[in-house]
Formats: sequence, structure tokens, C-alpha cells
Amino acid sequence: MVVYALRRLVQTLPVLFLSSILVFGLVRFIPGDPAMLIAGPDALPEQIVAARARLGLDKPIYVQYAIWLGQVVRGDLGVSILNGYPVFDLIARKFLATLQLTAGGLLVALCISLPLGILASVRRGGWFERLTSLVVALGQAIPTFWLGILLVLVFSLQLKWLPPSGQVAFSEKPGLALRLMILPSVTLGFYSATVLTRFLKSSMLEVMEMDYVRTARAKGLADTGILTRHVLKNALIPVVTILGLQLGAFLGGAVVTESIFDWPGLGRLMLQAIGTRDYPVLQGTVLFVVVTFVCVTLITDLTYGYLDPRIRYQ
Amino acid sequence: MDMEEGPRTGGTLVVGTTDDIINFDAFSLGFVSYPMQNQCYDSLIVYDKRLNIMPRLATAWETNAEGTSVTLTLRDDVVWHNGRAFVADDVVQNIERALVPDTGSNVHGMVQTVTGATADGDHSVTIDFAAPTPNMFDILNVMRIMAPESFDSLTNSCIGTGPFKLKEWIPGDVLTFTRNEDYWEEGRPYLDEVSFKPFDDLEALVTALETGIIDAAIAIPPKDYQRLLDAGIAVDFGQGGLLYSITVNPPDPDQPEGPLSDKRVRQAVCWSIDRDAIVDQALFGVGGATVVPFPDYSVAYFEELADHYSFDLDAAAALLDEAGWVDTDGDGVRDKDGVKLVLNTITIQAFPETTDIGTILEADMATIGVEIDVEPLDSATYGPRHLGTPETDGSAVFDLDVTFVGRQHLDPMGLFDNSPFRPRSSPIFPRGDFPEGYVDQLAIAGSTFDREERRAAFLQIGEIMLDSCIDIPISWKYTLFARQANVHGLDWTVNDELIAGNTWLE
Repeated sequence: MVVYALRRLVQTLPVLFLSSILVFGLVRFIPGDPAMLIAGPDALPEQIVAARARLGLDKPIYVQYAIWLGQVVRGDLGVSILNGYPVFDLIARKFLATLQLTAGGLLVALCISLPLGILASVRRGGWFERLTSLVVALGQAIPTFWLGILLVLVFSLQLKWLPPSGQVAFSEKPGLALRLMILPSVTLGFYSATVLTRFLKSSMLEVMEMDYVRTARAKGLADTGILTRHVLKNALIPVVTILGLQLGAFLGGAVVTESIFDWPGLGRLMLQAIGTRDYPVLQGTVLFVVVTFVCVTLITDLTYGYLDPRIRYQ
Repeated sequence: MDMEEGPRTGGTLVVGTTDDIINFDAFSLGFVSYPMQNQCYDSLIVYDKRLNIMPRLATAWETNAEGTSVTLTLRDDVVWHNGRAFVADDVVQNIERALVPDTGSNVHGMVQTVTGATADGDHSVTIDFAAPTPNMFDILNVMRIMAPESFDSLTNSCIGTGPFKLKEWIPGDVLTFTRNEDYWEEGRPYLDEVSFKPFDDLEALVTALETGIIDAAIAIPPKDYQRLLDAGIAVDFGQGGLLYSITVNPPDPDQPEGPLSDKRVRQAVCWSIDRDAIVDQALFGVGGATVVPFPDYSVAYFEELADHYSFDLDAAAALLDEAGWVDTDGDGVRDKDGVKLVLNTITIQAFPETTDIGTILEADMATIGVEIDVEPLDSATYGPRHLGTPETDGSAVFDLDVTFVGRQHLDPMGLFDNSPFRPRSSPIFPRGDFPEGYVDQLAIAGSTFDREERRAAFLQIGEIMLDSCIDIPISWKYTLFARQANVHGLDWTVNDELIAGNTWLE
């Protein structure tokens, strides 16, 4: 297991190296010039040239990449070219907010998908399964921004039950923090809930047809026991893969949800960095997201062994 | 406590903004940053709403007979946020900073006639000009004074003499200023703190106002004006010191000729602007149509020019016919020598009304066979297209640019600090091929205090601008300040910078 995990970690190094080239290259392909923002709206040509030189943007792109990569391997993601803040500090601060939203979104996704997926498979062919299919179809068709705005309109503007935007840490004001989390968590988690429901239902139905389940029934085991001990545990394996992917996406920052709810997470940081062409922040954040995704995928793979002891890491 | 009992002290004002501050360099006059920077800094003098000169860091001023120098008497009771006394040499160092292109930022272009400044003791400073400079007080009004020891750290901190000190800036999240206990103005500020919260999503900004998450907001979109009024939010119009306009960019002499090389095509665009529809539909009534760039109180305003163009598509079509642009292939778009009459029109994404203006123009000009290709751009892309880059030899990259300009509401010379109009390094005329007489008359108007001489020069400049159609004024742009009913004394400068020093919460 440990050897497997280490081997997987080593395998991620080329992935990260290629990602760094891709991230740097793609960011520089976005049209626009941060020097213009720094020089001001009516800057003179000589001021723009000076701003570019100050930012190091006058150097050849491969030199800029080498300088950046050199910093990254030393654990330094550089500083924002706009506000001078260390990129790592910015990411660390925003990641906490993203982690908070991820937890909320994941909770919503699991709270919806587990009961829906299990009950829809158990009551196959009935009205509940049809209702679940409708919810799943709707959830996958509704755009996130639309759902977010709708929730704000109904629960904030009309009913005035929940605040529409903002974020505070749980350690500061737990009650308000919870109320602020509800709408973005539902917005973020609803789509994932429907994806997970669909996979869980299919997986459950597949496992329920297995010989060992039939055998367990023939032996006279109670339905609840069969479901929890034999069906659900085995049906969760593909679901965990999907859950891992969704988790990676959440941790990478939910750009749309964070913008609608003014949530100061990684997604908004990336969006703002794109808007201002703050290259170090954008490169650092995207690289951080890639690393996070790789880590989550690795953890997901390792979780298989726990769920299904037949899987052994060679 | 009710309002009759007077202002209350204490509390935090939370102000929503459409974007985050970029830095604390007071010479960088970015539309988003400078209204926030104002909390930290003071200027030497300030204009009141009627454009009278009022004291700030300077209590008195005297110009010499030739108008080539101004001597300012400075307050002797001012300390910087770091506790050091404010002295005349600080002003001198700010002037010197403004004179250097790299550090002078947007103020550098305004101080072209300044030759230097000298301190006479700690509380008197004289600023010298190479020629009479009628807009010298505009410069003093816009130039906020920074502590020289902060010059190297303006990317994320400020040391000023303003009513609030910087407390914390979490980029993209919140910018908080706290009360300056040593502020020179007795009893001010009333508030303990002012926080600015940037919203990436304008809808979220408006909703935050409606639900009371924030106390006030700067620069809310015109489309939400009525919605906020209906929700019981007070919305005030700023000074109207900005002007929506369309900059027209004819090809440079070293570029191949294009449709806009022909003055008649440019004039056809000028005749195709339906200002009333734009104010109604794109600006939702928050504006005031104008054909000339100066308000009626300005020395550069002329009644006879104010109606030079109207919305007349027949006149526009006739000019295009005369210029040889006709629809030869029946596809609805005029062409000439195999070239279609398509005009690339850039707009600013962060100000969606500019795109709406472009869309109205697109619909109108389509009826006379001109295709307007509207291209909304984000700020980082808009800048290089609007200003040009070293790669384009400083030449702007667009045919039409729906934009806004500022400072024409003070001394008219303020308009000519804006990049499209400036006689030096204009991205529209980077090779210096300005319309005949433009630069000469501008030099006259900018170097004399003689009103009649200036009016004669400005009349010629106005005629040249209208005839050559290099810029098309559309409407005054009013910055909208929204506030909850319990917010009192929220004010703004003539340049629409928020003044929170007089604000209090009920």
C-alpha cells in the first residue's frame, strides 16, 4: 500500500511538470496586458514600457517561465503583480473559504443523493423512481448561475430568510456563518447530488442482481442487512470515483457559485486574476488546483482498498 | 436618536464597489481605485460642487501676475498617518514624483507645464510653471499628497493625511480604513471604520444593497437605478463629470487607407447617433444627451455648436453615397473596391451600458448599410486596444470605441489630458497627423488666462472636432451613489470620489 502510494506520488511529477508548462503557456495566451492596468487608464507609451520592464514582462517568455519555475520548485509562488501580496498567502486565505464551501456542497450532495439513490433503486419501477429521475434530469439541466440567482430571489429577496451573499469564518460568528453557507452550498451541491444519485442508483441496481445478493436473500437475511452490508458497500465503489472528481472540482474553486454569492474562495481569486491578468496569482492558483486534483484522485484510488478488500495494490 | 440631534459618531460603513482597488498610488487615476484612495489622502485644495476653490492642506494661495507660479500656504496642524508632521517639502517631493513619467502615472500628463516646486520654510510652497497655466487649480485639486516615505510601498499600503488610515486590505475581498484620530479637521470623521467590498457580479452588488448586507455602493449600473429606488434605497447622482463618447480612429498615415480615412464616412457615423434612444434605453434615463463635450457653464461651450449634429440617417446615407460606399452585391452592407463597410467597435465589459450603446448604433447603422461589429472587452484587453502598445507603435486598435472620458467639466483643458484628445502621444494620432489647427489652438487655449482669447481658440477647436468627427460626445455620465436610509452625509468630490469623512450612521 505504502509503496503503491509512493509510486503514484512519483508518477504525478511529470504530470505536474507538464501542467506547469500548460498553465504558464495558456495564461500568457490570454489577450491583454497587466502593465496597462498598472500604468493607468491614460498612460503614455513610455509609462507602459516602464511598467512592463518593472514586471519583467519585457523578457522572452521562456526566460519568464524559467524564472517562475525556479521559484515554484523552491516553494515560492511569487507575488501578485498588482498588490504585491505573496501568492501562497493569498491562496492559503482563499482556500479556507473554499474548503468551507466544499464541505457544505458535499454535505448537500450526499444528503440528497444517498437517500434518493438508495430508495429509487429499492423501489424500482414505482413513482419514487420516476420522481427521482425527474429531479436528476432537472438538476443536470439547470445551469448553476440560474439556480443560484433563483435561490437568492426566493429565499433572500422574497422570503428574506437567508442572506444573499458574503462569508464569515465559523470561528467568528457560527450562526451567521451557517446561514451564509446554505444558499451557496445548495447551489454548488445540487448538480453533484444529481450526478451521484444517478450513479448510485445504477450501481445499486447492478449489485442487487449479483449472485451473492440472491444467495444472501435465500439464506433468509433481512433486507436492511443485505442492503447495508452487501449491496451499498459494493455499490459505492464507482460512486466514490465520481465523488472524488466532484470533490476535486469543488476544491478547485466554484467560480460561478463564488461570484454569485460573493464568496471569497479560490474560484473568485482565479476570476479576479484573469480579469486583471495577474499572471503570478493565476499561475499559482491554477497549479495549486492541479495539485489538489491530483491529491484527491490519489486519495480516491487508495479508498478503493478499504471499500473492496478484493482490490490489492500491487 | 433622530436626525435633529445631529451626526452620530461610531459605526462601520460598508460600501460595495464594482471592482477592487488596484493600488494606493494617488497619481494613478483608475476609475475604480481613486474613489477609495480618497479616504487615505488629502489634496492641497478642493473644488466644491459649484467649482469654487476651497482650502484643504493649503489654507491660502496666490498666483503671480503672469500666471506662471502659485504660492500656497500650508496648514501647520497636519500630521501623516505615521505621526510625522506634514511639511512643505512633502509637497515638493510629490511634485517631483509627478514630473517623472514612470512615477507620475496619470498626473504626469497634467503637469507638463510645471517646471518645479520650492519650499519656503515648513508651511509655504511655490509651484512654478513654464507658461501661464489656466488649469493649475484643477491639477492641485486632483493631485492628492502622499507621504514621501510611502512612495516605494504604494502597491499595498498608504500613508496619507486623510480622515481614515488603512487598516487591512485582503485583495479581492475587503479593504478597511479606520478613523484617523489625529485628523486635522475638528470632529471628523464620524465613522469608526469604512470598508469597501468588491463584487464581481453586479447583480450580487445590487441584491446586497436591497437586503441590507452593505450600507452603500459606488457606481451602480444605470439599469438598476429604478429597481433600487423601488426597494427604498436612496440613489444620488454624482457630479456628472464624465462623458460617454465614441472615439473614432481613422487609419494612421503609415497604415493602409480604410473607410474612416474619408471624413464623410466619419461624419456619417456622427449623424447616426440616436442620443435620446441611447439615454432612454442604454442609460435608463441616467444621463443627458449632448453633442459637444463641454457643459453649458464652460468657457469652451458654444450655443451655435450644441446642435451641430442630430440623429439623421438620411444625411448619413447621403454622405456614404457621396463617398462612394454603395451596396453593389445586394447583401445589405455597403462596399467599395471590394471592401465591406464594417466598423469594429470596442466596448467595456465592466460598463455594460457601453455595449448597449454599441448595440443601438449597430441597429441604426444596419438600416443604412453599415455593419457595426460590437466587441465587448475586459479591462486588461481593452487597455491595449484603446491605448495602443509598443507593438502597434502606440496606435489604437479599433474603428470605434464606446468609452467615457473625464475632467472636461472643470477647466476645458482637462478633456485634453484624456488619451484620445491629448496633443502628445495620442493613440488616435500617434504620428502627429492631427486635424489642421487642432494642436496650435490647443496651445493657445492652454497657455493664457485671457478669457476672450481662450474662447476664440476653443471655438476653433470645437469646430475642428465636429467637422473632423474624431470624437462623438453622447451623454453625460453620472456616477450613481446608493445608500441605505440610515446613512447620512455621504458625499463626493467633483471627480466623484467618495467622501466618507462627513458620513454618519443613524
